[in-house]
Amino acid sequence: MIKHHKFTLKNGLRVIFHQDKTTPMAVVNTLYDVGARDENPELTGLAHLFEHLMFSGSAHVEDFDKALQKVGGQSNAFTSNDITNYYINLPKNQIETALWVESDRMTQLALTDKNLETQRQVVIEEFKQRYLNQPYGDTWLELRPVAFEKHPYNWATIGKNLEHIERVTMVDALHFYRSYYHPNNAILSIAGDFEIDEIEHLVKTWYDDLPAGPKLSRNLIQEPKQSEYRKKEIFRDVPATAFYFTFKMDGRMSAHYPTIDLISDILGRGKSSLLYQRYFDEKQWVSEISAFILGSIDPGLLVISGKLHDPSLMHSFEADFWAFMEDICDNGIEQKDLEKVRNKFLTSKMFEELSLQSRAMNLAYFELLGDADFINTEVKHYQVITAEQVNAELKKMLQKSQCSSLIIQPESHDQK
Amino acid sequence: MTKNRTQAPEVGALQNISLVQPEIHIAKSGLPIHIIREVPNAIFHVHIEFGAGKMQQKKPLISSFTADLLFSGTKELSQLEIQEKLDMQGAFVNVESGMNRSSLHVYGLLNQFQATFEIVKDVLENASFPEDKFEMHRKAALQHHKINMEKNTYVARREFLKALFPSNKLGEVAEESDFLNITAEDCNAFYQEHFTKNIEQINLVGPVSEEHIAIVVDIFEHRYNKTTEAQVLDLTYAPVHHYIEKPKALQSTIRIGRVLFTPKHEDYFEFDILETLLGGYFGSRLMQNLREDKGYTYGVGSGITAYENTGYFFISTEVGKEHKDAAIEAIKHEINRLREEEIGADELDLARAYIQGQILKSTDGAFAQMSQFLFAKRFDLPQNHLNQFLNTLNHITPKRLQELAVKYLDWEKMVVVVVG
Repeated sequence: MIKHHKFTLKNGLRVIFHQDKTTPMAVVNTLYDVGARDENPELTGLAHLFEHLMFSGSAHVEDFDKALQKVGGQSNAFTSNDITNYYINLPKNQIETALWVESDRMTQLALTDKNLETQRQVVIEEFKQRYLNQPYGDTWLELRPVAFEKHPYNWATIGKNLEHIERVTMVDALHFYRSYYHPNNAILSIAGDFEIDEIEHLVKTWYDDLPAGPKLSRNLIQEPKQSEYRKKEIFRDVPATAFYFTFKMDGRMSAHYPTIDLISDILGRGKSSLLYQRYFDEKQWVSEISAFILGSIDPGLLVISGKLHDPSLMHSFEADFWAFMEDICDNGIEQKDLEKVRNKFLTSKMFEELSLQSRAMNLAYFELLGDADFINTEVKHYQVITAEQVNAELKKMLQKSQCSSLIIQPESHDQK
Repeated sequence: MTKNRTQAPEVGALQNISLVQPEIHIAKSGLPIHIIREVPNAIFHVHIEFGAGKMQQKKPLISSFTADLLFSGTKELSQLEIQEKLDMQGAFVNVESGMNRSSLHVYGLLNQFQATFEIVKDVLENASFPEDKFEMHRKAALQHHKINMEKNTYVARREFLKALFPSNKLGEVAEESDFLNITAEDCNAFYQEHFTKNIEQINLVGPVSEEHIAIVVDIFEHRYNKTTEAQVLDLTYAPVHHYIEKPKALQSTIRIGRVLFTPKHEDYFEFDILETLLGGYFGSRLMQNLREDKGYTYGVGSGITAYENTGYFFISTEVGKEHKDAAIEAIKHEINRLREEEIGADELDLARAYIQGQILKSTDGAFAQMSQFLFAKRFDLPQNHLNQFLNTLNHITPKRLQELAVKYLDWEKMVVVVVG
């Protein structure tokens, strides 16, 4: 049970406090309700580039990182298709410094041309390092546009291409900042050895006078129901054939989400999973295979991916794969398949909860989804799932017409 | 409520480091069991160390293959049966092979402790390394290797280790032929020799009871073998510069470094501070220069890798290919600047405060505290070494740091590997 206390400031900032009296550290986590899905399709990658720019310093804090390092603190951030999340770890008695720097950059970021130019270069190098300069690195750049035709999940957080990053101007950056960075679009989560009154006082001291921003309403184009199987094949200089089969699934707040989460584990988490058993062990066609979900807020994807030992197996593999999916849908799974993955889920959850940073971050994320207390009630949803529910969901999901796939084949194997 | 935003909040005093020492049980055989019970959830992590690392293997890959295949079957149970039982208990196992030892990690739920360790016991007594599982693993591992060889970072790390340790096993890397030469019998022999009877210590984190400890003692006690002595190695190396060009690469991986020492060396902790200033944190000179000023890279860092026998210092980064030479020049410039000028008081204070925070964090929670204990034990340091380190940190001077830079950061002693 992760206890927490919530309050909201006049300017709309939502605050969650979680007390942990056993730690000498504190975590200050700030989640902004903006991600790559909110970008202009013609200027993608901006949310992530902007995350870099948030470390540029602000009106009263010349150097954000230095101010924290001076008190033994450390900060980082990540951007996803849904959110942008910033976190600070520091000794608990230095918490006020975290609130000072974090509140200052919430509305008074001090951007210079030099910041923009440097971080643009840094992000371009990040783009190359993670997506372009290694085999299969660009999988999601290729796969997203196949899986999503309309919804902005059809581009990756890093952006569609380098050209978009190169085109961002100071006007674009400032417009983005003014649109999305303000107290009423943020959730502040604080964890550590403090008292409620102390936290309320400190938060009010540093955040109360920040002006509220414009009310935002998100109006994203929803993905139309997929009607037929989509497939993209790429032939290039890679050492092995890689395959990705993605199936449409419900969003994070759907009642079916926990069931689908466990389905992905039944299919492809670990050596006793159905796909591993069939394709690694029995047929011995793959060198790796796994299944996972993207976990996005809007309807997203369940992904089955792996690599073949031999490119010439692709044809047989694909035929067998669809027969196997049909077989799973027709015959369903056994109770023990469900129990296995559920128990593993519970263990993982208990270990994850030990981390102060995970607790702070999850509280903020669940609050965004509707209520921070989901952090405690989520497990119950997993505990009551039945094999019948799993089987019903399997039938609904594992349809070929709901699948988009990407196959990356070695060049030499080009079938003329 | 009023506040002055232009004024940084008052800096709090340094907090005391309170390091929980594990309970130490010594079984009759002499096997040490270290226990930290202060964990809020009913889970456990048992970490078993075997004197079974790369140093002990007679040819490449044996230690890692044995680790990977340890749970691939026993006399009675197939891999699938083992895995399904563990899954049903909500347990996870992970076997890592390192330079001087292998580690078996078992994670699970406390109420399944006994059942989980029945499996572990069976594996330690009866692992069978079935031929078919071995062949599947060989095939998959070889493909992973081939894919990794397409990654500049992987190739650079191999070339770097080969150059640093040309005359001992630390520099031994696996080639494709090694994947073809290894046999299931090699693994089985290595297992019999090192896993069934070479346990060095057991570390237990979780709210365990005496019964849980008794289970562990019962299974492992007679498998104790006194810590494998670290071999004395031939540490001569030549400071070569090695460039492997990849015409299609967009980025180049750079690794620069030298053979240095273990944490037992008298200069280790002072050098650690110097290394942090150079490339060990976001505010470091390399990060500020290569990333925040020039935008050559997404990240650059330095570090020290420590073994019982020796250690090495390294700098690592991936830069746009067009910046490769400029980046090496910038690194050289920063290294030489540390040798030629004293570090300013402000910069030292900043690093000092940052490191203090990191030390505090490194003692936060049962798992972190166990790691600290094991680090001290492994390198034969006093258990209050963190307080000693804090003391060193508070008293080190710019002059001393410059001396260390002159002594250890000589460009002429550096191996430079560039791939891309």
